[in-house]
Formats: sequence, C-alpha cells, structure tokens
Amino acid sequence: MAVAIGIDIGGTFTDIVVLGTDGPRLYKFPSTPDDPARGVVAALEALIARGNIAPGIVERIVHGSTVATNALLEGKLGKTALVTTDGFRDVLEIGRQNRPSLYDLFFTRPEPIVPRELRFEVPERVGSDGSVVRPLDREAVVRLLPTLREAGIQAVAVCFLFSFLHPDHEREAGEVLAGLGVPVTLSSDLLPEFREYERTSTTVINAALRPVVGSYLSSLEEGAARLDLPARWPVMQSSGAIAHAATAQRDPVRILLSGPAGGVEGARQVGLRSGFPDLITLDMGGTSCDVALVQGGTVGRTVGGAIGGYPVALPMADIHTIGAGGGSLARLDAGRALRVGPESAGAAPGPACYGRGGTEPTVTDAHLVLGHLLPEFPLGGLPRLDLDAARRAVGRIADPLGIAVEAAALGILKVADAAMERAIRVISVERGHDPRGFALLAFGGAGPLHAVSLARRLGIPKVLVPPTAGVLSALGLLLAEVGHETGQGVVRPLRSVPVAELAGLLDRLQAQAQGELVSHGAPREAVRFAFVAALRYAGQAHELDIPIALGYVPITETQREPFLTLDPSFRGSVASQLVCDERPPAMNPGATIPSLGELRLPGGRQASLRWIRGTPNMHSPGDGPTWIAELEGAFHAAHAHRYGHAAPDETVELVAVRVRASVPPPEADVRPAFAPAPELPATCAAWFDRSGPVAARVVHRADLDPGAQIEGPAIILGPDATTLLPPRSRATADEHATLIVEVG
Amino acid sequence: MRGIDPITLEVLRHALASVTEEMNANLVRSAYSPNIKERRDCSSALFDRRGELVAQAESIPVHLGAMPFSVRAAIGAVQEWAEGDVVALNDPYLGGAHLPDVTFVAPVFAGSGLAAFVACRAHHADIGGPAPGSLAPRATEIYGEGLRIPPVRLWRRGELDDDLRRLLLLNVRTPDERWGDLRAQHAACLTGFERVRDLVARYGADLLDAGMRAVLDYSERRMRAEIQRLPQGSAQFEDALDDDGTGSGPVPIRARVDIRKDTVRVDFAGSAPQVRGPLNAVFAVTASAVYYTLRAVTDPTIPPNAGCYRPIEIVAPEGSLVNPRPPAPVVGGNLETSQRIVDVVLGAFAQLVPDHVPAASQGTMNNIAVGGTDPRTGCPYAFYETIAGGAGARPTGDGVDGVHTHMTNTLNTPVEALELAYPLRVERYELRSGTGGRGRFRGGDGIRRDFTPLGHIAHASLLTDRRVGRPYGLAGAEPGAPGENVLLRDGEEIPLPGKTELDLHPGGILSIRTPGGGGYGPAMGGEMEDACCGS
Repeated sequence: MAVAIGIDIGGTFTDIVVLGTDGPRLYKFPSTPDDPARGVVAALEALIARGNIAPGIVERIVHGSTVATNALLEGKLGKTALVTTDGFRDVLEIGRQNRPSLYDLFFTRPEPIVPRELRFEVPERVGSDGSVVRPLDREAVVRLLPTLREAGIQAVAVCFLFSFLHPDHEREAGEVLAGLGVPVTLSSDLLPEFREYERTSTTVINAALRPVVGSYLSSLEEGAARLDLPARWPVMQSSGAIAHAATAQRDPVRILLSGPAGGVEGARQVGLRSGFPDLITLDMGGTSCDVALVQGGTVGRTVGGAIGGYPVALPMADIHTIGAGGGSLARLDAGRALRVGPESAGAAPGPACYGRGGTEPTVTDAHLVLGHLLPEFPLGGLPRLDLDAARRAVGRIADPLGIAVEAAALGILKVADAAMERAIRVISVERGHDPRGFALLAFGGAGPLHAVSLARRLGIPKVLVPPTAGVLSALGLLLAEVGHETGQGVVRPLRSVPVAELAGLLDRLQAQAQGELVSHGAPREAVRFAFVAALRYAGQAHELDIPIALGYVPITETQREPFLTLDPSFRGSVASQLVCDERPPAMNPGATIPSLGELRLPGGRQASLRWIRGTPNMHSPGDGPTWIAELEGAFHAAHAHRYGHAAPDETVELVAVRVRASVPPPEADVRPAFAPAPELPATCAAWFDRSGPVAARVVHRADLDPGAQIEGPAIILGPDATTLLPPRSRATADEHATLIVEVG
Repeated sequence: MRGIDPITLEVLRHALASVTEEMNANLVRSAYSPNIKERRDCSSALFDRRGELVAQAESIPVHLGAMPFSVRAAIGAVQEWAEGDVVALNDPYLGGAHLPDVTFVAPVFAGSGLAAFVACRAHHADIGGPAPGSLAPRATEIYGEGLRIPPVRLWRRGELDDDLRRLLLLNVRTPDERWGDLRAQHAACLTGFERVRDLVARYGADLLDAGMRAVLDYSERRMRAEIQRLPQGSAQFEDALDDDGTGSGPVPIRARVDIRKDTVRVDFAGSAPQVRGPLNAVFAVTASAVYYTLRAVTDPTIPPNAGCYRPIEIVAPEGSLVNPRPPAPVVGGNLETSQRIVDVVLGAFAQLVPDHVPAASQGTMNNIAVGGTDPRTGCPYAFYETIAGGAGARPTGDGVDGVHTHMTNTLNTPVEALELAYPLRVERYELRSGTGGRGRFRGGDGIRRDFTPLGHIAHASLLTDRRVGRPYGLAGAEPGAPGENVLLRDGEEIPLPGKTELDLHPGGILSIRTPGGGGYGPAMGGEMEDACCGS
C-alpha cells in the first residue's frame, strides 16, 4: 500500500500528513528555523522509528517551506550582483518612488537586495518596439568579470530595458557571466514581461535566493537518501501549484508564499469535494489570520504581490493577512477603546491559560473563560489549560471597566471578529464580490471558533470546517496539481497582432510549459493547459486577465437561460470537466472557463457567458478575426463586471499572454482516520452573549458519522481544532467528514 | 462616554472606517481615468449629521482633513436636504483645493431622518482652462485655471440634473472620461448610502449617532494625550518658495507653533501676501498640511476625524499666500506650496521636539507635463508625472533616497510603460549621488530623469521648486542640494527656470534633477579625515 507524504514546514511547527488509501494521518513536530532541513529529516526519522511510515512504501513527498520567505525577510541571501542597462542601475532602489507609510516621518524602505556598489551598468539599449538602439558592448561585460570574482559574488541577476521584446542582449551577457561559475538569472527567462522595476526586483530576489534554497534542497535530498525515502521533493509554489525540485532550485522566487498558498489550495480542494466552488477561506492561527477568495473553484491570484516590501511579479495566491489570532493580545488603549492585536503573545509565553508565564489576556483566554474550550482537552500536546490564569488575565480588562469577566471576554471576541470582518470585506466587497454568495471555510487552530459568528456578521449562510482544520496546508500539498506558468510580454494593440503570430506565441509558451513538466517526469498526455491574455484599455496601467478559452462565447445578450448545471458529485475543476467532454478538434485540452455567471452591462442589461461546442479554430486563419473579436468582447464584459463600465470603442491592448500547464493530482480520500474519541462530558456551560451561560452539547468529530447533525449550542472537539456552534446554528457532517454549518 | 462602552466603540470604529474604505474602493474601481484608477488621487469620507468628519480613507495626505470645508459649504448652500441629493463642488474658495479636485457631498437618510453625510473627492485629469490637464503655470486669476463649480445639486432626489451635466461637460477637454469619473464618485456615494443604512439597521440610528460622537471623542482624547506629551512652549520658523511662477520671489512662509497643555496653535502671521502666480494655497490646503504634520509628529494611528483636529487651531492671515482671497490663482498651492508649509511647520516643531522631526525633504513634487503629436499615430498625447527626490535625514539615521515625501505619494510611470505609450525616450533614471545634505546623518539623494522626444517637437511645462532655495539641514548639518532643470543640446547644458514652458526638439534632452534632503547633526566625516591625515 503506497503512501504520499505532505510536509508543511512553518515557523513553529512542522505538520506532516501521511496519505494512504485509508485517508490522511496527521502529525505535528517542532520546526528548526536555524536549519529547516534538520527538523524535517528528524521528524521523518521519528515517524519511521515509531512505525508510522515504512520507507519502502512512500511514493512521493511534497513539501511547503518558509525557507525562501525567511531568507528574504531576514536578509540571509546569497551575495548578488546586478547588471543593467547604462543609466538605470538605480531602478532597483528607486522602485515606484512611493513610501510604505504615509504619516511616518521615520519610514524606511527595505534595503535594496543588491547594494549600489554591486549594481553594474553596461552600454546597450533596446527601444520600445524591440529594435536595437545601441548594441550590447560585450567587452564591457567581460571587463566586469574580475571585479565580480574579487567581490566574491555568489549569484548574478541581469535585467536590461525591454529585454522581454528582445532577449538577445541579456542572453549574450549571460553567456559571458556564466564564466563566473555561479548561478545567473536573466529577467527575460524568468519573467519576460514589461515594467522594469517589478521585473528587476523579481529577478534579483530569484538570483539571491538560489544559493540559499539550493543548499537547503541538497540537505533535504541527503537526509531523504539516508532514510531511504524519495529524494527529490516537489515544492508548493506561491501560485498554489506544485513545482519539481529542480524548478524550485532554478526559480526559488516561485516558492516564496509556499505555506499560505498550500493552505488556500487545501481549502479549495476540500471545498470542491463538498460541492462548494465559491469560498472565502479563513486561516486563523496563533498570531495572524489569512483570508483569501476562491471563485468558481479557482483561487484568486495576483501578479502584483510583494513580500517584505519587495515586489514579486509572478502569479501568487491573493492572500490578505491581518494581525488577529488566538494569541492576539487585548488591551485598553490611551483613548479607552478595547483593542485586540496586532501584538501577539506568540509561542512564548503564549496565552495566559497555557501556563507558560503569560499574564496579558488573549483571544484564546477569552474563549476559555467563556467555556468554548475545555481545560482538560487542549490541542496539540499542550498541558491542561489554566482557567484561573485566563480569568485573571481577562480580569485586567474587566476590572477597570467595572464589568464581569465574561462580559470582557465576550467583548474581546467581538472586537477580534470586527477586525476579521473588515479583512474579509477587503478581499470580497472591495474587489466587487458579495460575500453572501460564498461559503466561509475555516481552518487553522482558531478559525473554527470564530467562523459562525463571523459568517453571521457578513450575512454568509454557510460555514465549512474540514476535518483536518489544523493541518490543511499540509494536506493541500498532496491534493494540489503540479503546475508551471510562463508568459510573454507583448504590449501592443490587440488588433494589430497578427493571429498567426499570436497562435505561434501560444504554441511556443505551451511547448515551454509542457517541457518543464515533462522533463521532470509528468506524462505528456496528462498535461493540461490554460491560456490567459492580460488585456487593458490603452492608457490604463493595470490589466485584466482574460482566459483565452477556446470555445467560450462571451456577451451573447440573452435572457437568463441556464447554460450550465453542475452535477453535485463532480470533482475537479469546471474546466477539466467541460473541456474533456467537448474538446473541439485541434484544440488544446484544459483551457479554463472564465467565471460563469451573469454579467451586468451598462444600462442594466444582462449578458450570460455560454459554453458552446465546436468553436472556431484559432489556427485557421479564416477564423482569426472572430477569435480576436471574442477575446476583445470578453475583455469588455469582464471590465464591465469588475468596474461597472466598458468602453467598446477604445483600443484594447494586449499586455501579455500567459500559459499555465498542469497535471491534476491523483484522487485521494481526505477523510482522516480519527483516533477514538476520549470520554467527554455530555454538556458544558458556555457563554454566547451577556444573558448568561447555556448548556452546550460536547461532541467529538470522531463520533460524527456522515449525515450526523448537531444543533447549536455545541462545542465540537477535533484533534487539532475546536468548532464552536452558537445557538440557532446547525452542523451536518458530510461524506468527507467536513462539517457544513447552517449559521441560522 | 455618552453611553458607548469601549467594546462597542472599537467595533463601531472598524465599521465606520470600512464604510469609507468601501466607498473609496468603489470609487477607484469604477473610475475611468488613470489618475484615479492607478494613482489613486481620491478620497472618501463619512460625516455625522452635524457635518463633523467621522472617518476618512485616503491614499495621499493632501486630501487629509480638507473635505470638512466642502461639507460645510454644501450644508450652507442647501437649505433643505432630500434623500438622493448629491452636491458637486470644486471652488477652492469654498473648501476645494484646486479646480481639478471635484468633491461630492450627499446626505444619508435612514430610519426617521438624516443619519449622516458622505463625501468623496477626486482629482480630475482636466477641468478646462488654457492648458491640458488644467495645470496652467501662467494663470494670474482663478478664472484662467478652468471651470469653477459652487455647491450645486447634480442629483436631486436621486434624479440627475441633465442641464447641469451638459454645462459641466461642455467646459472640459475629455467629457466622456469626466462623466465616467463623476459617475464613479456618484457610485461611491451610493455605496456610502447603503453601508450607513446597514449600520442604522444593525445598531439603530440613535446608537449609531452616539457611536459617531464617541469615535470623535476617542480621537480627541488620544490626540490631546499625545500633545500633552510634547514639551510646552513656542517656536517659529521661516522658509520660502523660490518664486510665484511669474518671476517674482522668494516668497516667504512663516509659522509660529505654540504648544499649550493639550492644544496646538499654528499661526502663519508674517507669511507673504498672496501672489500673482498660481502658487497660492487656499485655507483648506494649508489646514491639510498642518493636519498632516500634526499626525506625523504625534501618533499616526489615531483615527483621522474632526475629534482629532479639535485641539488644533490654525491662524492664517486673510489675503496671504496661505489663505488667499479670490480671484487669486491656486493650482500650484496644492502641489508645491503645501510642501513648503509642511517644511515650515516641521521646522518649528524641530525646535520643540528635536527627536521627532527629520530635516527638510525635497519640498517639491517636480510636476512635469509633456505633450505633442505622436508621430507613430498622428494623435495628440499628453503626459503628466511627478518625480521623487531626497527625504530629510532623521535624528536616528540617513534620509531615504529617491522617494516621494510629505503631501504626495503617487507612483512613478515605469520607463518601459512610458516609452510604450508616448513618443519619448528616457535616457537616464538614477539617483543623484551626493545631493543629500552632509551631516552626522546624510540626507536622501535626489533623482535625475532625462527625457528626449522621438521624431517630433514636444511641448513641456515644468512646475518645480527648490531650484534656488535648498532643503534645510538640522542640528548643524548641511542642506540638501537644490534641484536643477537643464536642457542638454549639442553637448551643452542650458539651465532652465523652476517654472517654465519650452519646446523640446529631437536630439534635445530635458534633464530634471530633483533636490536632495537636508542632513542631520554636525558632519564628523571631514574633520575625522583631517585628523587622520594630520597624525
């Protein structure tokens, strides 16, 4: 019986999920941030020693790691040089010329990753039409070699202006610089798209991470070999897809958001399995809370992300983080308002009830005071929770206000909820999505305690709590698809690009992305593709990603006809279902369908997106104009949907085309094998409002068979998270052991 | 506390702030023009039914605290409000900043009556007048700066006044884009209506009103507590603009700051009389600059609302540069003079709280507009941007190089984006090494950005300052280097004035070199070196 292992290496804990045919088994170990590989290898060694895994049957190991993030945030990077076009070496430092905080006179910007003395200019220039204005002075590059050697450079980044239109200069410089014997990253290889600052920043980060991530992956490889485990571990990328170890080693910038992306991907997967393609994901841990949006089974993504203030222009999951977690500290501020977070009690001392010396009240202490947590059943190997310590801590809020300890505890939760409500509004309402059309999927140790009250505040009708709420990131690693994305900047009016040229470009990108996966063992026929055109109106600075869905007819102004009904038992993405069934000849499989649904057009008219069969073949020149017109039409519609208006008379510009190649993961049963539930009291006294405690049922998830229903008030214990059901809410366990809560 | 407990206070504070954030997000999302959509030159605010500012969302400080003047003007102009009324105005002499900034003010009715006002302000890319972009550097009266709008109801009871709309749009260069942006402002107001009504439904009108007052009192308590921590006393500082745009200068600004118990008074007596050129800063702009400074030297996390400003008194002599009388032109007051007002007020604070205040930053926005006919398409184009410079050194470290400071924070146009969109080439974009003032801590370096037109003659206008005067250093350090505007032609460097217009021929390079920030603390480096050499 083969098993797969998912390992999520966080700052404090390393979560391990072992997935066999009998569902996932979950383990938690301490992390070793000083040498991340050591802790992981030790944990696996312990699992082998305890007989939890047998090395021979491990088929694959996928991991998510904060190693790149930590190296970037702590500045522990390889010594890197940057080579730029003459006159532009400071682009990296000037950035977009803005400052991070408006009113802070003592603001700083993150130190440029390459200091000025290691930024070198060489004569060369390409114009905005891709023509050579000034040829590369190759000798000038050659002359840099001794200086770079002397400086002890460990990596080099090359970024020339307009290299995405004319990569030859970068390639030639790269050939010369290869003589140094250190890794060289060319911007035209990594991110051939426009906007020089974001491209330079991404390229430089990649170069500087290569020595660090390279040695980390080598240590893992050695450790795994010693334990007789598969040696090359794929890694979760910021985009939510898995990359082969060799790709991560070459493009480590792609794994910066590895951990959080794994969480959102896990949430997406368990949501889809339970029939919920539209989710707001809430990952609330000890110090912070991550929220993200999944729409139509697709994780919201951005190419405008930044980590530690450094822009990274490769696709990453669009995650909004605020400082609200179980360990967030509550205090009365100078203006006598009750504030919760962003300061946190952290892992040490932790909440007062952990009995590790904490005396300030936290969100977790408030839950304990209110009876939402049972002192004798703590999570994650903690000792018995100290109720008296929690009451003393919350008393620090209650006493000066002259209110009961329980009233203060309720206040702390209310304020924490208000902050999280605002965070969710940022990723939903402020981006044009009504949260009431989504389900709230809660995970992380503290998420399921807040989910129902939060959903009520936002008018969200349903809450989902997966059985693996505490280790969903690790599980997500095993459920995610293997994928690679690549793109090409164009920046020309869409109608001026010959269809043959565009088709050729898509072919090239497709071959490139497919090659990346196939060369690392993916079966060629299993690879699917999704194409995207980044379009904008000429003059705009931001573009919209429009799926180039071959077989997608936008803007047919029809009545509200049902165009698609999903079989409730369907799994996987909408696109894979549809395209596999109805793939027109000579089309690429796997093109993604844009969000399905109604569009609002100016004047209150409705338009629906329809899937039709037998679409025009873009490779046939005769159908080209139709195809371009459809793409343009899709852009106008998407613009109208997102921004409330479209301008069909204006020039649409093709900024870039991108392709995402992916191989779907094997089907897996995600129901965990719960250990038998401990002996629990039938009820406990819990507070939900100021009217006093009520008797809440106490149950364990291990005792909930599919179809089991629990009425609130209730407290549902699990191995790694506790779910709180306030009065009037009702939970049903589904066939995947996910709790579906009607918030009432 | 008016019956509002600390828990409800905090919950309402989040809710009220998110009303304005959602209004502003909708404004940005629905806007047509890049200036609002990309540069986010807009803000949204919520007022209680008495017209007091309760919450505000903004992305550049120049909008801070300026809308209360507009709301007051709207309330003064409309005798009887009806549901669905939306007032538009841009008159700088009635709470605007300069004519391109158009403000909407609308009452929100919920439950039994008036529950609140919402307002939003956006910088429109054109509002008429002689120059595209309505940044006329040579105007000598406000009549020459574009269309001036008093408080008028553009929507009455939810119905658009089409006569008024046609009048507005006939007077601007890109009417479709303008109307798109104005509709986006209306959409932001509608978001505000909806969210305030939600809050009334959730909390009740009375509790919500009490909550708004409690949030004001809360900010006031925190601001007073912060001011009380500052040392008591008075200080005065003077600095100047290079010129007024018509060639006369320098133009001094003087401020006296008095800290008494938990209040601050800022008095501009002794500042220059209003000037002939468009550098006059209307009182609302002066107030924004003062509020910015106070937020920056106290605690920037205090929610910005009317309560926060209660302990602050601003005295600006009528008819002066910082409180002009109509019809003085004002377009540059918002852009350039606001920066100098910050320099002056900070300079006074530096004497009172030396540890809290950095040396002067570049003190200009380096406004540059280039236009002409694109030889690639035969179509006219117009390009506008501001360029960053050096930030002042602080008591704790060097100033930041090449960054926007104080009243603005807009993004640059990437070189590749600029060259793709316009028939221009950027020849150089780099830090001006050594332009930050020397001292124990070095001021930030300015920027050099060189442009050349490709295949056509371009027209450029410059509205820049600190080309003569220099950003001051503090505690014995040197000032930053002044900026320079230079035309490079046939191997020659031809100096240009700070505020000018010129034709740019192919082969000629317009080189904008922005000022460095002032240094902080006596320079040790030079003396140390001398000592080394001597021994």
